Amino acid sequence: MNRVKYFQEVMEIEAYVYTAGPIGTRWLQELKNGRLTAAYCAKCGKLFLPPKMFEPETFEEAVELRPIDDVGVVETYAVIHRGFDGEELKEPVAVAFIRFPGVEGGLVHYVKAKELRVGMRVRARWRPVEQRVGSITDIECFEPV
Amino acid sequence: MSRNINFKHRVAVVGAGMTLFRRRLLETPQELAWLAAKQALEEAGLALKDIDCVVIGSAPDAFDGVHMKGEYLADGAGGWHKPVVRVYVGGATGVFTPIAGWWHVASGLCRKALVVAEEKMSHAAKPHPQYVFRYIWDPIVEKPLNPNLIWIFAMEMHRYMYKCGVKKEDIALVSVKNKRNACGHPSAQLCDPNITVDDVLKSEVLVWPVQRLDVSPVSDGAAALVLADEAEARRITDTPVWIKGIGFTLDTTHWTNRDLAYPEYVRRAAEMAYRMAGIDNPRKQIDVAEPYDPFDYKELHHMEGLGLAKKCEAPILTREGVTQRDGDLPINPSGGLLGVGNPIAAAGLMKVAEIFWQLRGEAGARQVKKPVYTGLAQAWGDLMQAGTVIVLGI
Repeated sequence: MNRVKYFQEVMEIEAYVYTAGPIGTRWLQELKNGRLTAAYCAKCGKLFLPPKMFEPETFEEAVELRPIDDVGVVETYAVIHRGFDGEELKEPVAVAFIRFPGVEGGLVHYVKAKELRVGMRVRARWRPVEQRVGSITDIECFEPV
Repeated sequence: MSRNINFKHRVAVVGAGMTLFRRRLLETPQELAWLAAKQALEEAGLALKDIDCVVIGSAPDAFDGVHMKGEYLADGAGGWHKPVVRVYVGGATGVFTPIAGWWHVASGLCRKALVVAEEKMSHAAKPHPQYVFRYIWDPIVEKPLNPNLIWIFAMEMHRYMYKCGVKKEDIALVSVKNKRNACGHPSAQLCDPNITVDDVLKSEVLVWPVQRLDVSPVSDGAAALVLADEAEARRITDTPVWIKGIGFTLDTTHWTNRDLAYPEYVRRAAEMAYRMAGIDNPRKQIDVAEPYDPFDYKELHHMEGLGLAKKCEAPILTREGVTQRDGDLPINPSGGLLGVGNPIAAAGLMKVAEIFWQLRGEAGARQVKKPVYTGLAQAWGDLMQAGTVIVLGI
């Protein structure tokens, strides 16, 4: 028995449309081309991820993207056994934080490896060209080198 | 608060910056914040490493579509390994942000503070950013009627017209003035050098008596200020602009419990700021003002709440040309929200930046004719009951 009246509402905008920004857009286009890049700040000489039009520590402008090797190092990882709603996954899925030599920051991505460990070198497995859409998921996952 | 109150430090504005205000900008919210912050730092001749703390202002997370928007914006606002806070009082945020910056510096906690306000309304794309406001209503007595913001503004405008005997023609003059003033502003979204009262009166009726050209637009944009204590300010510039008074108040949450013809929330906030600034006759002592003008009638409403006009007198001053850029009391020389645009928090901070540039004589084509020594900016928001006021002087 309800002792008070309840109201139901859906409190959302129907659809958000986010901008990737000028440099973020180019970064995604490069992924579609199968190239991993990082933002480059000419004034402070830093390569950094995620890409943006300024380097956050020095506050200098970054207008350039430079290609980086799609091989990184696992800084840490986690293994997902249950999904968003608490349901048990058929197979556990590993996600890792991956750093790239000479680049500030890094990427989080899925990793498929039999014996995943911190410090392991991993390489991007790219989706076939026709499946790429200009998204971080154009890289399907990372796997051991 | 007493008139002779002694704060630990006097606080000055030493630099300001802002992006273009547009319906849709290409940059990400962080990048907009950075563009404005970088410009303010450059105007002050400082680098990010010189800044001790950062104050961010932004209105609902639901516009940009990023929860914890303050934290998200921190990188773009220079909040890197520094004390950072985000403040939020709805539409009143833009003026509340430098108020929060002021107490960081006045208290002695920080010597130099970067104050950044940003809004990206275009992200809330479908059906319209206005939908963010569908859930501000009381769920028992209002929400089932499916109200939108303009209903309420229309009722407030009508009440003001009724109580003061104001015609739509008088109110439209504000929109005309501000959209024309905006033509001097390099960031302006809605400059129209040829707009007439007739254009406003012939624009489509949204919710009578509010018509399309009575209302400010939906915008993206960012603005920033650099604040410094007295010793730092004197090192940085020969022309610091001092924050002389600050004030902020909330009125009751409920529309039905307010005087809709007179903004009590502004009067109380203004009195707090005036006490601190030693102002007892604002009409004589304030040389230039940027009251909040998301709707044209609100400029009039707020002038009266600020004591810049007597009750019901603001439309008369407007008709007589007193509030024009070359008038005796220039009001919204920037072009205001009606002309420059309304990226909520950034629009309020734009007003403070305008007073800063006016008092330094750096407003270019927008510089008012008379010499100006003291000015104020004011914003309004939350559930339409927050008033924030800042008085600047040289």
